[in-house]
Amino acid sequence: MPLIKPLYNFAFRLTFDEDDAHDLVQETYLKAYRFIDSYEKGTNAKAWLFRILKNSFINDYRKSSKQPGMVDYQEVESYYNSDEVDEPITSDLRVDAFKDMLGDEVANALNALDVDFRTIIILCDLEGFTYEEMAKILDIPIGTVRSRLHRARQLLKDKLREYAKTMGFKE
Amino acid sequence: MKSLIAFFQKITGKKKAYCCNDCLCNLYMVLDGEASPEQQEKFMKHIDTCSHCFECYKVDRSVKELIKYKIQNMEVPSSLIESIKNKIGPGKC
Repeated sequence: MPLIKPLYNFAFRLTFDEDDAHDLVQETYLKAYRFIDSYEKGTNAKAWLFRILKNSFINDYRKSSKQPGMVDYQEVESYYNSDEVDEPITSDLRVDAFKDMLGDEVANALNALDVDFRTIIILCDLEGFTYEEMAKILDIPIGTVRSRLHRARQLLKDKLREYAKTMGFKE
Repeated sequence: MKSLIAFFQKITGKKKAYCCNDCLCNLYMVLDGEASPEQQEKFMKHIDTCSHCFECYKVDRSVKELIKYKIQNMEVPSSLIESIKNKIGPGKC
């Protein structure tokens, strides 16, 4: 079945639950089948399916408040939009400190991020979507994609730094 | 490095044409393959001589690679594939 592996993994990383991921992916394929006419030919089919899955997740799962600690986007984006992208990127994390990290430790750091930050990292770094595709999947402007990605990466590095510390690396 | 830059600026009275802020703004664009060829070239030239930006680049590139290569994908349960096939299969929709 085409594209089911990345979709299932995306669903699992959003919900952290195999049954919920199962339902979410099934719903995504049923919706895609039902609304196949709304697919624009020539565009990325994977991005289209990811968008359907993301919307189903927001409608069905976020409302049931299974996800604690939602990010207040208005607040976050007033800080991190446009100009704030220029804030310096910190480099105090040393490459040596995390190059030997295990997949589980990296996954834990990613999973510790709020869902919106986790999502943008998954879409960009794991799935390799372009900024334009991510803007469509998430229904946000490209400027917001950039600022959210910027913030998400700073937070991810903070988490990795914490893990590196517990592993005994000195900064 | 920073003090050297400050020293050069002081004696030449010139600011660097391509400052570190421009560079770091473009860092993610370069890493994510979103930078134009000109931006890419400028960036690469800059990190050749600026150790601070080069360090940032190395760290962020490694983090991106960590995510890309270290995180394992789960196998899709065959029951899910069966269940979708049953629901979309002939005569079901």
